[in-house]
Amino acid sequence: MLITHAHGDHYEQRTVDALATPTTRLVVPQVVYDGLPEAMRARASLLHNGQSADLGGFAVEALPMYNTTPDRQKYHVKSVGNGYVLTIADRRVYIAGDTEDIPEMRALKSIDLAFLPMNLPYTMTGQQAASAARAFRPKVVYPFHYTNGPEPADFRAELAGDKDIEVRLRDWYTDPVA
Amino acid sequence: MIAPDSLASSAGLITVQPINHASLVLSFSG
Repeated sequence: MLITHAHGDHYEQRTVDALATPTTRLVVPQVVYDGLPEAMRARASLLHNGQSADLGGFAVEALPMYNTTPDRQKYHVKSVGNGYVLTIADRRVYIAGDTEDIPEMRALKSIDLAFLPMNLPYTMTGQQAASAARAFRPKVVYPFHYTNGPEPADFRAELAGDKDIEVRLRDWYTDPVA
Repeated sequence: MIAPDSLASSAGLITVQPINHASLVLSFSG
């Protein structure tokens, strides 16, 4: 179970308790680690930005996630949360967490599958996310973390002419704020 | 034929399932 940061829509202990089995391993940043019950800390991998772990079937690397726009930096402060890159067999999967199009994202290489957040004021506009996708060129990208705003449609429109990036915009969220 | 929300890898299929706007499940069948 990979947890990016401690905001309530990303980390809720009772949900972790409900989902975790005795063999579940967790990958968490410090801010989440500090909130875990003692018994659960024993099977958590604490990763800071830039650190990696081998979880036995796949590898995980923690990346920064943060806001860069001055009046939005309060939402996600650099070094607090983790985005993640998973290596599963020959595929690399990027889960961005809550972030804007930070340099660390734009510099990624060889990403097969990416999940990019888009909703204001907390993460990216559709245009920001598309600009990032054009920079690191995932083969497949899913917009996520959106609500009822224009961001996912803007994202898809921005990338409509790019045949090498497959945008998978799904009707995922029947209750967008759940 | 690969399922719409799957991605083939060298060792099996990676499948994506949404949970809510901030959570998703990646399952791997190898």
